[in-house]
Amino acid sequence: MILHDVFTLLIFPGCLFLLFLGLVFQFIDRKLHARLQNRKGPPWFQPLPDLLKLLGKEEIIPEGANPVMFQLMPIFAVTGVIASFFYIPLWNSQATYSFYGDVIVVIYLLTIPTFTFFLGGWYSSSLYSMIGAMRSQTQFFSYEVPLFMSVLASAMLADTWSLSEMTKWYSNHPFYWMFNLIGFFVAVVALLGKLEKVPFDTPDAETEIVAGTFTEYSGRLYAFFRVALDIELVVGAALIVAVFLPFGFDLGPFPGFFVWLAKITFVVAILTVARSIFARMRIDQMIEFCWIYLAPAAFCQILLSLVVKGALH
Amino acid sequence: MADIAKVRLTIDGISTEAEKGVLLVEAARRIGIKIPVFCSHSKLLPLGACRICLVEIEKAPKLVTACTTPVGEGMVVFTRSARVVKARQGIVEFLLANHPLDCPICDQGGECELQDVCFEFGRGKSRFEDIKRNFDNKYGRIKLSPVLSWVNNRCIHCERCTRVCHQVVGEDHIGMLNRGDKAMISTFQFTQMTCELCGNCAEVCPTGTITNGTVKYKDRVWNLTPNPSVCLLCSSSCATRVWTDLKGKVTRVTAPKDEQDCCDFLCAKGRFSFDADQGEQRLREGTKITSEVAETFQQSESLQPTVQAFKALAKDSGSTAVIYNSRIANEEAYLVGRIARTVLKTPHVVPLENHEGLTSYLDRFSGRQSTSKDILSADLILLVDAPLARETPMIGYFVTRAVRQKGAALYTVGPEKTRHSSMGLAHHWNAPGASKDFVLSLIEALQSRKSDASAEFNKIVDAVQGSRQMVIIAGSRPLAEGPAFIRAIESLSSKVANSKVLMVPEGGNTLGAMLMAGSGMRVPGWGSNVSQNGCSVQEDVLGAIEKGSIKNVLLIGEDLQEGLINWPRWKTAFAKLANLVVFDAFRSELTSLATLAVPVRSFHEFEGSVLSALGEWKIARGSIPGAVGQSMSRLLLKLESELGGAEQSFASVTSEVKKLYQWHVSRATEAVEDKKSADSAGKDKSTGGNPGKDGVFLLIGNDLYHSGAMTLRGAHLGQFLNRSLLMNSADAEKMKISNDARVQLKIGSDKVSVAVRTTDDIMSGCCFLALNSLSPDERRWFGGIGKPLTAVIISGGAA
Amino acid sequence: MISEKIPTSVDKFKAISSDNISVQESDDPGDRIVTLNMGPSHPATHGVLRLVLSIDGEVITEVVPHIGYLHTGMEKLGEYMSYHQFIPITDRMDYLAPMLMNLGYILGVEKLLGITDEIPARAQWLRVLYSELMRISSHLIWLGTSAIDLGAMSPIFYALQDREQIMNIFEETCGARLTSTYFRIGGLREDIPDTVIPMIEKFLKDFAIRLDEYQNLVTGNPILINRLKGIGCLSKETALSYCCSGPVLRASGVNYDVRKARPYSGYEKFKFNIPVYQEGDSYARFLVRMDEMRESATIVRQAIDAIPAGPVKIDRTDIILPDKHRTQGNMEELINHFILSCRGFNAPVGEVFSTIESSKGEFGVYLVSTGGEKPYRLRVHSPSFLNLSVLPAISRGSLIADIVAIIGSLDIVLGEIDR
Repeated sequence: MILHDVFTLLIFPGCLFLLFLGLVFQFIDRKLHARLQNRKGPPWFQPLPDLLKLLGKEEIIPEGANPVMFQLMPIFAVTGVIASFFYIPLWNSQATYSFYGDVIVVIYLLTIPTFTFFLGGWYSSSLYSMIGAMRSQTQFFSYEVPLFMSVLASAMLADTWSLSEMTKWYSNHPFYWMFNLIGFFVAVVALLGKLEKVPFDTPDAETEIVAGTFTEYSGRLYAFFRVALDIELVVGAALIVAVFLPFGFDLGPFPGFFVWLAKITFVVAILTVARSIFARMRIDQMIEFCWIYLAPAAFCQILLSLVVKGALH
Repeated sequence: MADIAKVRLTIDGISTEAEKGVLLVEAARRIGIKIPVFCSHSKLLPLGACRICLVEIEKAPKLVTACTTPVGEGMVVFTRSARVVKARQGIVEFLLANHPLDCPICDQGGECELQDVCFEFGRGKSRFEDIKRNFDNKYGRIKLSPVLSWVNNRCIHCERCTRVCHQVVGEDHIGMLNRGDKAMISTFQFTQMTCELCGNCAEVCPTGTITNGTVKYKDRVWNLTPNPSVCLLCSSSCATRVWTDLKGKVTRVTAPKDEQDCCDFLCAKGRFSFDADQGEQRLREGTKITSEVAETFQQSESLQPTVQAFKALAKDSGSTAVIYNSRIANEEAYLVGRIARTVLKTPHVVPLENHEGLTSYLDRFSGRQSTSKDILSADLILLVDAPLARETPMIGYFVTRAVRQKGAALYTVGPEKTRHSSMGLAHHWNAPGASKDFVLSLIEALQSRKSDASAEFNKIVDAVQGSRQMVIIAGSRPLAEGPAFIRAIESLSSKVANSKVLMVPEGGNTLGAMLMAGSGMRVPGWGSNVSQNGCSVQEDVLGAIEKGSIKNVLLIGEDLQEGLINWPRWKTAFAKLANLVVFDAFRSELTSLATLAVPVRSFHEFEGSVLSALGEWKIARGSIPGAVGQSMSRLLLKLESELGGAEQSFASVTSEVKKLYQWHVSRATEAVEDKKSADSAGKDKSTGGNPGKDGVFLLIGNDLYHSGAMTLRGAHLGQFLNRSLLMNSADAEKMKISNDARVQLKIGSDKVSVAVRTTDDIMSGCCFLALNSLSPDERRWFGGIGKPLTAVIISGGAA
Repeated sequence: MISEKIPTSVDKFKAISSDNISVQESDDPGDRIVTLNMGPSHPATHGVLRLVLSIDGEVITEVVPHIGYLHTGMEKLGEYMSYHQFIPITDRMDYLAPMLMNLGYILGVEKLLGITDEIPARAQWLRVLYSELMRISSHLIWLGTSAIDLGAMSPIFYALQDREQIMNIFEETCGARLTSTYFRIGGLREDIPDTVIPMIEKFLKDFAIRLDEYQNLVTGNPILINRLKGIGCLSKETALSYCCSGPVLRASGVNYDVRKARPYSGYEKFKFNIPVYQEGDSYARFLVRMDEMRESATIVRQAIDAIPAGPVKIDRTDIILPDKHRTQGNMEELINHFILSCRGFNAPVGEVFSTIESSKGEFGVYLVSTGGEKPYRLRVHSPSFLNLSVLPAISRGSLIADIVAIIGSLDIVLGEIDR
């Protein structure tokens, strides 16, 4: 049993599989982005050499930085995202581990990377990192609420706080997930914010503050941050897919796996297209947008869910 | 002199005035209007051959050449009218019709007058479709000179070179052969030229027909920087431009082109000795050799070895001697004299060259000797034993111009017929060392004729009596006869109205160095504690060293070993010395013997002023990059301040030196009024030698191309050597020596082997030896100047 | 002349190194002003421009631009080169619009020599044609880089693609894509080949479509509009007092374009409009440049349709180099080539000031000649320098993200500023 747990945690669908998926979807994201810009894009194996290269580079810890915190943050980021993965149902409606209330836990675990970005930037003692960290925190307060509310709407409709229960309920009630489409779009937009992709990439605004929170990171620590971001992409997409597109769980392991991959790819594609065509929003405009448009939309979704739930009974 | 009448005229609408006789080209140049010229040159008689200077004069039917037309009252001249522009375009087109497309490979590109005039005044588009005339290899590319490059195809027939050769150089080597478009410049029968004023035809050539062959293909003119300097190789002291390339290496030497008279031309030595002070033969690092230590030092870095050496010299001042030679600037000589008298406190300040008569010449004639203007305006020139072309060519240049351009009468006197004798009216044979006798007899003849005088002598007396303005020029041999000759000359000059005297010593800045450092200097307050009984010639110093009364010697100058007579004897004497300090630019046995050898700048690199034989004060800037260390004057100033003298700037030294010269001039003017010395002239004894008696011949051995070892240091001048002993043909026949035979010369106890050339240009009983044919060891007898040596000629057989 | 908005606290922010955080008390107690250095090597500063910002949170209280990182002494070099030799140096000033730089300098020299009226008609026409193509190319780069500064990463690739076509046209004409040196004193270097006209036709066809897409990108993009509207407002008076020119000036309501005000090189024969907007903010500057691209395309269209025949060089052998093949068989040409290459032509004594409308603004040159082959003084009037000087005045009170937008809308090139 322990062996099975170890296998699940470390290999499949654990760390290694997650890492592999992260690299694969990084490639899909980059290739699609390139094709949209009329470029060729990287070859299929590119993300792995990039990661290996980063792992081999020298780590430079700035003089004024707190070395302990500075070095711990990337590790926490990776840990957080990997930890949250095990509670999300993949191609079965039952996740690897589940318990009542794991929706909250998953969302909470997914906030850990954001905090590590902030703390990492804060403890970097560089002005650019600090600005990036501030922006990342400000952004956090803007998108987190709509994200939570839209997931909450879907959970309310399923009347449960456990992700696995939710997916089981939606499997038993086919096409009910169509009611959550508004929430789906709100969640995708909020996910853009969480992953710090254009149009919400002010914390990492390359042309303004060099690299934002990651300015002082290099070498292995930066590799970990990048890995964390890749895995967060997969995990975030997996969460959205599990919450808002809960179908195709009964097809058995193999077809189900591919259906699941297709759904994830669909979400990633939406994110990539958004990244390619939009410009960056300023931080105040972003806050404005999230609170004036996203949050009310999520609220509408909640109302809708309540209505539907009421109609069901 | 009466004012020349001025003439008013209008050029291009600008009203101006000029003296009568001034050419239109010159008048236009003075108001800034440039008229193109090719054949016209300010130092040559006008020709009007090229026709590019055509201008339009109102009411004249045809265009006239501005270079042959003098200004006229009320002339209205147009230099840019449509007719003139069209005429110039036509002339340019014709000139370029046969001109080869050599610009990329022609050295003159960038400083070519043809290029400049054609660019500015030409049509710009060629219409020539035919085949250009080409001198085939047999005639067109003959090596007519060892150092000049000739490409006859480029000639535009302006004839500047032939006129320079005739009017300025006086050689008549080149002329125009054939006619029409086959006309070409060449020497008669295509022989090679070896002129003393070599290179002037290249300098005036407006195209690249004749160029300086020693710098062929080396560099372009825009990469070269002209540095103003003065040539130190003879007492003409010509102003030069020393051109350095981008790396600071001296590439060539040319004459400056501006208003002063001695510009536009140089002699072969000044022009082609630019490589003489480069390479391994230069002393670049100081050496200090004592019994304990042998080390080298850079002059720029360390003054200490020199200071210590001087302190040692100053300690026993009575037994220190200072010897200088004539290749130093006025400031350097002045400082040497000052250091010798005030710091080292020694009475022995000795010039290496022996000019016994020079002191009295300087005392009596400073400031009132003949200038170049006097020579050019004279109507009678008398050369008394003055082989100008060999010794000081650029003073000979003035004489040539006076004779060939202004029609002056020229008579030469001496034991050999010089090049100027061929353009003179008569030559009077006079033994070497007997010039004073000639002058005295001339003075006598002016009052009462003697019946046994030769025809030439009588001609000279007639000419002197009938002259309006006379110039007497005497060379270094008469100078060596001592103050007696000076007195004689002075007496002659006082008896002939409107006459000027010029002494031409051999060596570089002879007059200036002697004046500033020489024992003839009696500046009040100097050396008042020092006895006046010092050595005055180098033989005295040598004797004193051998006796032991002199234990330290300081030698300052350039190329010193060549000036020491009988070097082996000096070498053994130097071995006895406690301190031998040498300041020299060239390596030699002397510098390796020295306890301290300090490198100094050479004759191209020096900084300071020079006094020429014609009384001109010329300044060399010393701005050549790559010069060794700092200039000697600055080094000596630093030394002086270290040794306890006052600190002084170089600029104040230059003004002090100038003031000193003016003080001398004023003293000389006062001395003129002193009549006593003139009367004592007749009482001196004759010092002439006896030529030819008992097979003993008087050897007169000065040669321009020698002048130290300078000829042999440079690769280019070495091609001009004349390596034979010149003998009188009658003497040779008597001794049964044929032309080109080898003979042995016995000088003192040494024997030297030379080849013989028989000639009629030398007096019976005398012979002339070109010193460069001897080895350095054999040459050691000729360090002295002026005094003819006696030698026995032993015929037959190689050495 | 300088408006009273110049702050007095400039002295507080002198040379600041890139990794200091200096926290200083400002005049206002309770405010903490931090100094941020957007250093010379920065993705958004167009070239090597160093901005020292003092920020309060995200709000900028002071901007001090530091220039000189690209200084290569071009004006001093001009005193050591002949007039002809200096033309390639002008290429390197505004390296995004080299032909316009060539033209500005060459018109100045031609004015000095007094040969402005003798330039052949064909040469003038082709000069206009290539100038306008160059303007389009410069604006395309501006569009791409400004968009990427604002975070839109994709438009630059399309803009560069169009620019590739223009570069290929230049390469076909004169062999060089960027630093062309195609215009010469007295005309052009050589006539255009026949293959160029079809390439320009094709480009115009493709560009018309793309232009609409770019227009849409700017006017139909709410995020972009939000980032640009109301940012960096430049009033008419401030713009005039700072001597701004070009699109910066025209976006603030001043109808001044050198091509209409002092027509040169035959511009009076072309029909085109000058876009002028009144708002003076970054959005207006964007729109001005979009419209300018359209106008340039119409000028190119008019130019292609009616190129006059004739020579492309003035017939003055003492200024123009002769044809190379003539120098190999003809004496006068060889001499002229030698003298012109090694020395240069002799310019008359005088001084001129001559400007053109370059893509950044009014570009020109002030030449002082005391005779001789080299100028005595060659002073370049650079529009980017003056446009940049207005940056502190218009960016006080905006956010860091806006600085980037403002610099993008000013469209500066450091090569022209620093020389």
